[in-house]
Amino acid sequence: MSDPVEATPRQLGWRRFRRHRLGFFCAMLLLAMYITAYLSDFVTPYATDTRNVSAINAPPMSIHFIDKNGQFHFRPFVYGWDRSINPDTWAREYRENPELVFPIRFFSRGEPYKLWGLIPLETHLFTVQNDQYIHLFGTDPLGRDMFSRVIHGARISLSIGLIGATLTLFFGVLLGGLSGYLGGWTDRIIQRIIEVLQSIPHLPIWMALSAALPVSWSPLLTYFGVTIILSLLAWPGLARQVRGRFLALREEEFVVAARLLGARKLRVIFRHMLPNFLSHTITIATLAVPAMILGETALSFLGIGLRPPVVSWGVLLQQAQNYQVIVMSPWLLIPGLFVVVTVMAFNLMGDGLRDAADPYSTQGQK
Amino acid sequence: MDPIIQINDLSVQFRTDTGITQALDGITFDVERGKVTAIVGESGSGKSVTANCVMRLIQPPGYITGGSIQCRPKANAAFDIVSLPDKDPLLYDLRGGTISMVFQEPMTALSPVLKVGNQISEAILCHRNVTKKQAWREASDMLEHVGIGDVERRMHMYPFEFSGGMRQRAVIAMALVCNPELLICDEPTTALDVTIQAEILTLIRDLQSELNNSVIFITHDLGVVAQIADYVVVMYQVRILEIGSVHDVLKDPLHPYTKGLLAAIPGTAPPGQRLQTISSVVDPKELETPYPLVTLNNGRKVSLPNNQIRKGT
Amino acid sequence: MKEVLLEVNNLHKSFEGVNAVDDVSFDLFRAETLGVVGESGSGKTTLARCILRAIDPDSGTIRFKSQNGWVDLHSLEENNFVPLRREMQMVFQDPFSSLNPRMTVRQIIEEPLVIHGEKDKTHRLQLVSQMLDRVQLAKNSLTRYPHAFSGGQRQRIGIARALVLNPSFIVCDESVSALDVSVQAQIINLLEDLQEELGLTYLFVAHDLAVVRHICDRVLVMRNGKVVERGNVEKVFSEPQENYTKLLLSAIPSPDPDIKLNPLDRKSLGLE
Repeated sequence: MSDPVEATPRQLGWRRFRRHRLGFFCAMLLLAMYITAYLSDFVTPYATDTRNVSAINAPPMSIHFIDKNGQFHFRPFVYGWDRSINPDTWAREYRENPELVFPIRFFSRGEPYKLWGLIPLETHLFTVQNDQYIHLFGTDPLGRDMFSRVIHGARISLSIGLIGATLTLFFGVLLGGLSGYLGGWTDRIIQRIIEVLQSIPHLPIWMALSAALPVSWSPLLTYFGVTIILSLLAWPGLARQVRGRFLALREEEFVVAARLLGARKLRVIFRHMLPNFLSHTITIATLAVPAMILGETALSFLGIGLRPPVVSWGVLLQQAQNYQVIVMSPWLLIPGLFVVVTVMAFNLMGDGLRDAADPYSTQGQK
Repeated sequence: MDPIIQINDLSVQFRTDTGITQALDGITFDVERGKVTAIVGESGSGKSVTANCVMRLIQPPGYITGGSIQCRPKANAAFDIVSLPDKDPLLYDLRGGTISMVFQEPMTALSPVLKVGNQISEAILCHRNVTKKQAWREASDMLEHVGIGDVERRMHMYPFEFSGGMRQRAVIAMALVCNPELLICDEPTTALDVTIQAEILTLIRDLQSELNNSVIFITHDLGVVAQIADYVVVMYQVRILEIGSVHDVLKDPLHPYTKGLLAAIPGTAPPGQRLQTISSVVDPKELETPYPLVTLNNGRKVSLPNNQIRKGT
Repeated sequence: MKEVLLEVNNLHKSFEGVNAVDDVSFDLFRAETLGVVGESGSGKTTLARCILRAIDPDSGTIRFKSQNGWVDLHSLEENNFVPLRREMQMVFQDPFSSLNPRMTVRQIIEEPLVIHGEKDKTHRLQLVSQMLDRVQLAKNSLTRYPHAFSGGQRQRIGIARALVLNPSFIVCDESVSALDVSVQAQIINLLEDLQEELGLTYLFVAHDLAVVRHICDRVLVMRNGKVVERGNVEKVFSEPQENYTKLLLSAIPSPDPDIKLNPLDRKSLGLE
């Protein structure tokens, strides 16, 4: 390991981040989730709307290695369902049928799809033979595979978080920076706008703005509309923090030194001030992502965000709105579990980033 | 020789992500009862760490890795501060009772949200069983004693209403109010203006001769050492280089580092001449080698190889 | 007759009703070192920052003899000020906060060159290397970051940065106050050597009277925004005329234990 005295500030920060084991683990976990989400067509055996009429509202399948005779198989397999109707409740009931063995095949051909809408492929990470089926997370009332829908939905939910956070970062840094550096009337006006926006309760405003989005808009436009609405209420918090850092940095001696050397305002901002708070700011923006994800999930769950046929975790949770569902088909809540894990991972990673962001914070200064 | 504190072979390490740093290495010296012992050194010498050890204020990532600090209070049995368990009641008596500390930044030693009078009274109430009224009265007396005028009004003020010098006086009052046997001052005048520093030094000196307590005074300023101390311990890079009476060490320094330090003070060189720097007086490699402290005839100690110690000392 | 480099007349600066600089006037001669001493609140730092227009004075005049003749600093627009910055620079007090922690030493020292239009990268590198030699820093310092250096070394970097444009006038704002005594001696020697080599003029702001006595030719003693005494440094220190100066001098502890500290009493001098 290179001498800490010789490392660049970036290397120091990276080293500190890696030492925060939980944060680092979560960062890797999130990276894996994003990669999986963007390869969702490949990773999942089915498309979002593929229906399996022989397994409607079916529970999750277990993966087996040992068959009914006690014999071990290298290739894992699942059992097909035996469907019956309960004479008392008239509800569908499913039982594993040990006669129906569906071996899981990896990297084999399944439904054709176009990767990222461009490359026509047929290979999936795992699948079963044509007349067989596999539903690791069960199916919904229309017989659609929940595992596939959750993974496909991840793409939308995770990307809204990222794009929303980027927008928040952009507006927050721009307006907070202008406010802090210019001061005077610019500062006062921007501060008042921030105060107004921060005093408005989030959910009602989101709902109002979402409802105002034209129903005739395409899913893509609606997607961007929702993203912008979510960042609208997130940038003020960030702008405040940026402004605070600017005000503090303005008085730092190396900034004064730069001015005395003859540097103009823009150079002082971009060369001296920005690099010294960017990592701190990016950390805060990272923590804005889970808020975005939760926001989109909430809006879509309430039916005023994204709508079918677009699939996101919030849209999937729309089907889990009554307690009957929770009792009869609890696996429909799995998207919620993914939201929880993602939000926690972002928060823990944010903690690690926060510690790492200022490599000079605890080193002795004499 | 009647030491109130005997530090023997004390070592401290700081363990961080980047490695282990030695903060003190085999420190041995005595603090004479009723006298002022100064610990002088530059940054990184370990002088503050030593003081923190005596009060058992070293916390992880710092660890005391060896040695002992014998405390010999007048009335009670001697005990080793280092070996006391963390929550030992003896430690609570020690801090603020037997031993008191005055820090460099008076603003951080005083709570900004409590009145000065309350803070000083609290120090009394922590260690003695008296009524609040009694404590308040004693606090006022002490505040007056340290030179703060208009005491009744000042007791009801907050620290931010005091000037820097006054705050430091208040902190000294707080430290002395339980009549500690040992007062530790960690660079108490470094952050003060020179005229205020002179007043505080005079105050500490007068109080010491009046109360006859022992004082450990930590500083980087040899001028301060000359004016306030009876004995001096010279530290450099976590070791002790020289120990002796102030008169001996400052008028007749033995270690080249001490000589260099004295020569580097502007004012000791005649005006117009270059200042002598440490590297021009002492070989850096020599300085790095930890020679053991050798005790000389008159009680002075110095860390030098035998062949460098002057004959007849 | 010595050549005047800077003329300050009736300078005023107040913050929220308090007079930080109160009617200060003085001349600065070329190649001299003028000390400005005072305790906290004396206004010495405010004065230094006003002269370099890091802060704007409320009233008064500051005239500087630049290479192109006399300039009125107090009224100059920021845009016109920039070329003048080649001729006057500041060395700061805190070695830890006066260097941008995210720039390499090379970037820090060559920044003034970049700002003032030196486009030739190789030429810049040459000037920066020369400067490194002058302040006695190793060549491999160029690629390292400030946190790899000690306080004294960082001050050398700060001095190199201030000198790379060949200014004639340097303001040292407590430039050695935050350094250990042994390091302080090195930096004082460096500043004196550079002054002789390059013919620099120093305005040396400090609170340590011993340092001022060693390095300065003349001195201004400030208190509460005003200059209470001025003159040749030896004369002021050995024969102080004003009560405040006497108070200051009596407060300096001597490293000789035989010379007892006997500070004069504020009240008896009427200086409450």
